[in-house]
Amino acid sequence: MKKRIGHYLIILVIVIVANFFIPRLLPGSPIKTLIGEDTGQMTAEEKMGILDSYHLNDPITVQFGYYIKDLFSDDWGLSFSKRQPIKDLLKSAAGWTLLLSSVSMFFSIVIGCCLGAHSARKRKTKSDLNLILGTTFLSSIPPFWVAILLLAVFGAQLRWFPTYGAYSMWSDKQGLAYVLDVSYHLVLPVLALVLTSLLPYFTTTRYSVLKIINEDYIKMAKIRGVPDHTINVRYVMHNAIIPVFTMVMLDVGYLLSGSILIETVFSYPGLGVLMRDAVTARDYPLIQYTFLISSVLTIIALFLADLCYRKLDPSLEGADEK
Amino acid sequence: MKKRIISLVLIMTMALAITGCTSTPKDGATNSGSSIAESLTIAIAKDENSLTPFTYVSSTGLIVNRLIYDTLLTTNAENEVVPWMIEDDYQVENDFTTYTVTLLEGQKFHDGSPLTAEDIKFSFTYPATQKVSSLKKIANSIKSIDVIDDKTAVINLKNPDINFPRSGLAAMRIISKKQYESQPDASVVNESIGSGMYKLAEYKVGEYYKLEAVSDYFKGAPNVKNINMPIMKDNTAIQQGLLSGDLAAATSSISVEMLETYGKDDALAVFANAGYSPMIMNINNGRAPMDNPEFRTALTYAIDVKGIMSTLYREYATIGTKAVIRPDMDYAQSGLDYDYNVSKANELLDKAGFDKKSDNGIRLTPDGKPCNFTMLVYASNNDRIRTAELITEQLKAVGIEMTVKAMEMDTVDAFVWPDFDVSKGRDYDFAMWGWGTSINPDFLPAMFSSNPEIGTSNVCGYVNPTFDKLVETDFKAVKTAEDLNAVLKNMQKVISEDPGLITFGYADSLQVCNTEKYNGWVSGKGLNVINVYSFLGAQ
Repeated sequence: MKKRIGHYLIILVIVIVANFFIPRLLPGSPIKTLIGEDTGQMTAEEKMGILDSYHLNDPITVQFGYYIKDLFSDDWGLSFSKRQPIKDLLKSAAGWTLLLSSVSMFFSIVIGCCLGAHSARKRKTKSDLNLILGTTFLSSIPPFWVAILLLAVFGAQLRWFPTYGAYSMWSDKQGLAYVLDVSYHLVLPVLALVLTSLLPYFTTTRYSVLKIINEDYIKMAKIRGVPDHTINVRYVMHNAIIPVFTMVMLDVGYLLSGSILIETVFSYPGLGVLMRDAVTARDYPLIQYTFLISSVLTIIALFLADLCYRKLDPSLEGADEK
Repeated sequence: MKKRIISLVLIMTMALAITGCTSTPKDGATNSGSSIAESLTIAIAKDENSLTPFTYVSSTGLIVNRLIYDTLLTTNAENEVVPWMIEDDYQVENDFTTYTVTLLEGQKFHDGSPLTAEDIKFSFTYPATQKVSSLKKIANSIKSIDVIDDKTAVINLKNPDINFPRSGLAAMRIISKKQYESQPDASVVNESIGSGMYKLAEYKVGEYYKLEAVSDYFKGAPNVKNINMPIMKDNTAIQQGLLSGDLAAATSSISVEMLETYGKDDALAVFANAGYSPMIMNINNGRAPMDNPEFRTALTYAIDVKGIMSTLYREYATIGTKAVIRPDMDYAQSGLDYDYNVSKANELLDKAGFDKKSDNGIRLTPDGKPCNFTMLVYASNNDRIRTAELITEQLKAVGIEMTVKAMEMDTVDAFVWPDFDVSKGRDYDFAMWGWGTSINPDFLPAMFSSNPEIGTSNVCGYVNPTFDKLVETDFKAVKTAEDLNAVLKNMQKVISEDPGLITFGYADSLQVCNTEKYNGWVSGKGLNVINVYSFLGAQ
């Protein structure tokens, strides 16, 4: 256990260091973001002065020192492009992305697993073939294209759903009305994400179930007269879910990376759009901290997956001890 | 049965998708919009921070900023500079160095404090104290400001500036002295207190702006009480919002291809405004063989500027000329149109020493290198990408091979304009480019002067001693509008004879507005539909 924690700490250190250098590898600089559209009118001395005030002309080691100091302080500074405290920006954006991603993930898992299990049990039938073709087709369509199509049809043409935003910005809804409003705005973005991300859960579950239903203990359970429902849930799915669980824990790490394209199309104020804006603007501090949040969550998710895996499959604990 | 249901669902979805791609004409719909509205939802294409004159980010922010902050003069639908906050008879004296202005009655800031001549003085001097400000250049041109009384101020410039009404009086937003005088750094001030017809009621980062009309605005209560502006960065989403009726307008423009779609909806009207942003093909004048003037001249004959602009924009553009300046400007030199002539281009190239060709028909430079070049273009700009591709096709006919490289904006900038400092050189062959506006008379000196302090936009590395001399002597000595026009015309003649770049032209700005929700929209030359005239109430 200590060794495992040590490994994850090493990964965390590497991520913290890499997050500092990655933005600085991008061509260009934040000068245009800091100065604005009149950048070309300023003299070189004036531009250097601006960069100096943000420590961007300091030696790289000094800049790294500021980064580490700010990271472990309560103040992550101001975003170059938004001129707002970075922590406030991340808190707000992370909340929306978490909501969108977790709801999408939940439905992708549930629907993907159900369809995968059904497809496995109906192997080599038309139902199985249709499901494989359908999920493969959907997953091969770029998510932003699906998003635009949903927006055009259900938003613009039929006017069944709103065309922008995470909630009704111009009305002051509270309580349950607000929750329903947010849910209403979630429908199209979630649908776009779910349709295009079913395939991995579907195929993993299908393969896993196929492997298990031919096991001897399943056959024995049937011979013993165990009800089908109990076999499916306690015997088959309980074991089939393990590889799916691994995938889920890996995907949890991406919960906060956001879906840039979906968020952009639906004007959803999440981390994906914030990250994209930060990269476009070469907003070094905002890039650093948005990437860091995403990376840290991935590491935590992997660590938790590692722990939970052993609970799910006790045989792994024994193998580990050996 | 199940199969039939699935087939039916698929067919319905496809049918809806097809109908969703076009706009259904409204039978019998007529423009029954009102000239007054309780609220309108207008999309803003970027997050422009708190919209103070020191925090907005781009020209999109400037559009909305102008609703919140007034300027002494403004530009009308004819792109003429007219008084806005001041009386019509403002004085210009001492060879355009002294401007005396008197405020109109009834003006105040959004916090209720009266607007006086002291605020004018403060507004024109405070930006000079800032490290970064787009208004700094104006403030730095001020020698002194005398406050005569509560309403009258005399602005004295360091140097004569015939263009100061446009570049200074119509550009400087009037800010509250009370708000800013104790703030050394304006960029950290997030509260927006202007004197404009709208006040910023609420701003949520990354989400929206809410503007509320100032009911006792000195020119009359605006016709729209509330303007709600969701931040929408995706053009497709904005288009769908307009088609669905969720949006009444947007700060961004639409492409020519969308005209038919919007035209089918009676509730929507397309406003075409003359644009002042040129689309340009930059040529790196400092790199061989582009440093050869005859090579560059040959290119002007090899590329069908008019044909390309017509293909891209149909009739919604003004074709560029060798003069660079928009041809309908007062000081535009006529007779400098591009002449698409492939034979002439080939002849010029042959004469310039590019007569030898490789086995695959590509010309060789005088020192034996093949004419293979790279054209950089912003990946986010479809029009420029298409232009680059059309140029590539046309240059094949004269034995020049071009490879188009579409890259992220900042990456292209880093090659074309490193650190936005022309003195740092450039690293590209050709690049599709554009400038925000070309209205100001110092546009040509900024574009073509080889002096880095004057030619701050000379990203081509253009060098022409005749042009430089015109800038250093004649341009600086200008005393009258006639002098200015004459100098500018001479400059255009010089750059047309020795072209450093190719100007394709000026695309019109096409904006869609919902005239059923509100029919008070006003557009004009270089004027975005979101402007003070669109919402101005009765005086």
